Amino acid sequence: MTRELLAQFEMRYPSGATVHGELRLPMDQFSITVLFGPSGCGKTTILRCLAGLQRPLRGVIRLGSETWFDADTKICRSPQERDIGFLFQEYALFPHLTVVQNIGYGLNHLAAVPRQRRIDEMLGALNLAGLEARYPHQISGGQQQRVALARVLARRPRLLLLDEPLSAIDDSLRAQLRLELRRVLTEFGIPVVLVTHDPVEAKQLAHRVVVLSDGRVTKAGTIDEVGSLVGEA
Amino acid sequence: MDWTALWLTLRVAFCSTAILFLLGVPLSYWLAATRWRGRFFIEAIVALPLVLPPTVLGFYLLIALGPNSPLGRWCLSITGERLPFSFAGILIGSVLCNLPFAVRPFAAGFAGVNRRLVEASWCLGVSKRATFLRVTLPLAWPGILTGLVLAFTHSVGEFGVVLMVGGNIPGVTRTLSISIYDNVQAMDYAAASQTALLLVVFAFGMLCLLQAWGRREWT
Repeated sequence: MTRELLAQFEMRYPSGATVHGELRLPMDQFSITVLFGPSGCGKTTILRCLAGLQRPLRGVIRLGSETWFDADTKICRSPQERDIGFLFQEYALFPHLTVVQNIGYGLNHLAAVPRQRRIDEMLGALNLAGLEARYPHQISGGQQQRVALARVLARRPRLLLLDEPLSAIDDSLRAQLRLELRRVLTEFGIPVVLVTHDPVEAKQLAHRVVVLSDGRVTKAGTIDEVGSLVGEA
Repeated sequence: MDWTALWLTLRVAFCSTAILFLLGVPLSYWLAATRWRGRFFIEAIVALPLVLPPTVLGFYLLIALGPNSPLGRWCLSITGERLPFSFAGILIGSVLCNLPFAVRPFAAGFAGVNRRLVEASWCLGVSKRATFLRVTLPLAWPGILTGLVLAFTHSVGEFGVVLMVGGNIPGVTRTLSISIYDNVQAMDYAAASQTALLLVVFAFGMLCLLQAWGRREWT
């Protein structure tokens, strides 16, 4: 049986704005699903609900037979229990920790030797060698993005959630980092849900696109099927 | 120099700062995190010693800790000693009086911690307790350090509440500030000047340390 992530939920803000998350993603193989839409349409809210950082009002979120959220049975698993990797828009690197300490932050469950091996592997995979002892404010925006990605990937999560991963990067570097991001994600083979409002990013990275507007999914499919909608946005 | 008073003052200041750390960290973390509408009420209670005359706070404490109050009777039955005019009494007074000097900087420190960093830690599989110890506390540390130094320094110089609750018993409740008052009453200006100078140098030194230590190295 194919394992999939099923999300059908409604999130309501005190202001009255609602976001409807409707997703069905295969989890057995690597794919990048892009949540695409204009700013404020609810993309990040859906990502945060998937991560367990926000609690929907009603609905369900399931990964295979595992229930992450069910409003009826009041099940709501914490982010720690969901085993996901979340890359924040501004990377959220710990400013008081060095690059190596940031990458190894979520690896305390490993013994010292495999932990160091995993950190070295991530430093190599993301071209971060030589930056080990630096603090986040001592490295460039592109390097910070790679450190944040290395920190998330180091744990080998079951699902990667990336919130506008290139939005904090200068335009001149973005095209180059887009290709590098795709290479790294493909190399690790973890299913990805990525949020963006940039049509170029959506077209270059997505295997599958979910188009959102005013808090609702308006269309979902391969980039060929919904490409025109992405171009219009 | 009244060395007994100096030793007593340091004991009160250390004990009071330690108690304020233990009570103030959870209270200020809660104040920084809660969305409860009645939060302003708790904040006002915490800030009250800043605006109340120390004699007023001391007077109510004297009544509240006295043998005719439930708290005073309970303490008398447990320890066999009265709280007013004792070390425990001036310690309670010092803690209450210094509450805003500790809690307000602590809360500012916690409020300044970027919520995304806490969420990032949770998403990396780290428990809430470990996240507090590994992310929130280190990042709030400049605020906590400020609160500890201010509380300790202010506690060393506390006068009104200590005099009201503790009186002036040598070796038991006579702190440095009360010793200065005593010296002036006895027209011994030389001794008063010596102790006063010590307190000025101490307070200035602590504030210098605070400025030097309190800087975030990572920004």
